[in-house]
Amino acid sequence: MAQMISAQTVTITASVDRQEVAFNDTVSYQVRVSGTQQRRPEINIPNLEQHFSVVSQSRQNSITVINGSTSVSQIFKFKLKPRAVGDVVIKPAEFKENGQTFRSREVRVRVTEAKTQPAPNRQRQAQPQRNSQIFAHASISQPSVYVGQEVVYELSLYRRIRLWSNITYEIPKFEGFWADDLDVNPEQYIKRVDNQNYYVQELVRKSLFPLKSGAFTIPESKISFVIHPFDGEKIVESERKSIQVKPLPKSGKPAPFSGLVGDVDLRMETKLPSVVTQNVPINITFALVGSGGITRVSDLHIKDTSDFKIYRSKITDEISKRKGTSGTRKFEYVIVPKMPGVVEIPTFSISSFSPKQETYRISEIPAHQLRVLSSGMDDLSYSDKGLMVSVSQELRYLHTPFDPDKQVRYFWTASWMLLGFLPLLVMLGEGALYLRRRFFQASTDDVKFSKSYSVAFKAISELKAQQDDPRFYSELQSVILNFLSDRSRKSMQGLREAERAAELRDLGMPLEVIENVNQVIENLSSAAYAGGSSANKQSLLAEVATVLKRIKKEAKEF
Amino acid sequence: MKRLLLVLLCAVSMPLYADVSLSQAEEHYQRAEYQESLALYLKLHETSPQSPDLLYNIGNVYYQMGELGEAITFYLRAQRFIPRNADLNENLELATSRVVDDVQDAFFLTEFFSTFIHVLTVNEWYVLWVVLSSILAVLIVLPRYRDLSEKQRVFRSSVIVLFVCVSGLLFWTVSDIRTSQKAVIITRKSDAKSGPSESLKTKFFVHEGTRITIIKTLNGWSEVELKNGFRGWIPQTSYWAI
Repeated sequence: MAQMISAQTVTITASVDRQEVAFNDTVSYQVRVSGTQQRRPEINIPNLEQHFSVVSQSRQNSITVINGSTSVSQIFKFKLKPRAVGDVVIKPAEFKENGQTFRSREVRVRVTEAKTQPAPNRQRQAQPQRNSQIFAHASISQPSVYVGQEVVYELSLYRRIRLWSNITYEIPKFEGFWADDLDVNPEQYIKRVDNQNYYVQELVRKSLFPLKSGAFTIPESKISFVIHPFDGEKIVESERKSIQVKPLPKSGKPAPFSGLVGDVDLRMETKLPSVVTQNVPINITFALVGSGGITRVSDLHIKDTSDFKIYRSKITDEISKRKGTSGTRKFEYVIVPKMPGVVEIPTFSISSFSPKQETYRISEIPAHQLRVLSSGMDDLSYSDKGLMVSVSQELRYLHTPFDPDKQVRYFWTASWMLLGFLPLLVMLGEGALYLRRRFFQASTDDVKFSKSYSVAFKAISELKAQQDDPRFYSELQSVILNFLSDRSRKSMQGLREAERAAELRDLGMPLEVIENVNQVIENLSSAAYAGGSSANKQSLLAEVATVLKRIKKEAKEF
Repeated sequence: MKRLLLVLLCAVSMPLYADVSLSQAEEHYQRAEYQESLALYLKLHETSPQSPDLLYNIGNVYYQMGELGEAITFYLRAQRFIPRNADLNENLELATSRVVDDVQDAFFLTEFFSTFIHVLTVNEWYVLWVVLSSILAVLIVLPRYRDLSEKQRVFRSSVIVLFVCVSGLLFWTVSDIRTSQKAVIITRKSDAKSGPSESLKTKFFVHEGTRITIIKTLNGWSEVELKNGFRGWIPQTSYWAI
């Protein structure tokens, strides 16, 4: 039954489960590639559609370790329904290894007339029964969608019993839909249905994009398996699913409309220069990001331009196909500026219909202005700010010519330092004078003043003993005037009353003290003419002492 | 008479020799014969150590030879005399961009202060100081002859503050030059040790072109500090003072 060809490390076999099959029955065709290496060669399966319709197909991988040696197998399984009665030859499956081609042998199958009775070992379960031990379940993500909106179709097998054979399945043709495969969870998981735990195996997940509006029914899918070899193959069918497809609203529909239904956004991924060279191509990449039928968009809308030649160079997808179609489709364009001058890269846009918001929207990359240089200037490069920069980072050139003897001398030479010291000396001199005025001179004056005061009081004491002297009054007057002369450093002798008052005012003496001084001097002058008693002389001595004390006291303040 | 003629001949021929050497050095540079160019420039440098253009050119030759540390040293020496020269600053920036160590100032104002202080040369700071001190001297003596108005008093106070600041900056720059504490690493990579000995532990590595401050020197080793505050000991042969 099995036909085998082996290479040194890889074996390829092709087989069928029976060599004779009724016209209305199916036959299983299997290609197994086994080897010791993890590497999987590219297998070419013969054209089966010539004599059979492929009801279902699957691929399995297995690793076996026996006595320390590892064997890796790939198994391709096909469930085939004959197209005609007669002998059929399935051509060899093949693969290439190290330049050599290895083939399995041909497989022969005889197709007989259809049997009127169904095979005795088959049981058909027309409708899924949730309370059974095993059932098929089909689901769709939403029952009502717009034309072009993605619907996810999922087929799973729910079971509570152990299976003896692999699972094969047959899904319907999704007529009226564009169908894309989505990723299937290869791991079984447990799900609770009607208070019972089931092992769930996802078999098929499809993205369906309705092509026209109307009511559609997705026929039942079939899953076949063997529970026990004596019971034969069993088949369960999933539910039919109905989908209502609504037409896209006519109001607000942009022209032209890309046909994209989904929530998407267009972004530019290239940082464009502001200065380019004529006929030098620029690569620009746009990213269409979002979910929905982004893989069905083959181009962006580009506003007409005569300034550039624009070519779409590549499309790359970074799409997740787990829950639905979402991710990024990148469009790379090459644009070639045709003429020099200031020109605009045209707007790139994509129109779409958002099923969530039920509105049309246009995602647009605005026009970008740039300066195109004549192609004769292509030996220069330009920064992004449009400023000219050198092609490579290189040093600025040598300083030349120059006089090496022209050296810089630091300022700490005598002439330079003298220049700096002159104003400093002026400041220092002024400072010294100020200090002298403020402290030294003031203290000298104080000493002199104190000495004069002592001298004056000594003279008063002497005059107390010389009260009979005819010069008593004039001497007493001299005591005051000499004291004032010492204070003002000007002679007060011989000055008239007004002149004396003016001098004392210049010294800053208060008016009251000046009047007091003048009064005492006047009293002494009067007494000298009129004469006086001893008591009068004592009184005058006291007055003079008082006025001296007052002058001294006030002198601290003026 | 003969001696006098000989002296005159020498005096006349010296500038001629310099011109020839300069043009030869430039020709070597143009032919990418950097060793020959450097030899001629260094010869001239012996007699003209403070020629800013010569220092700049030597920096260029070192850069072309791939001697980044030496190039930066000469650029920094030239910068003391021509701090605002565009050629010099661009080349210094280019050379600095190739330095492996990216050492940032521990305190952000230090970088600002360092940039500010190098806007003027030390001589320019001195001239500014002389001008300010002269103005100040006039403003101090003036009150002896006439009373100052309110505005003049404010102006005098401003000049005093400015004078104090400029005096400080002048002192800083002068001490910076005279103490020669600033230096540049010239070896490709140096181990900064924890003390002045090869057998001591390595604290960190410094690479060619990194600027350092010399703290002290002992037995052929110098304790150096980086701008980020790292301190370690490296051999004296690892750096050139600016």
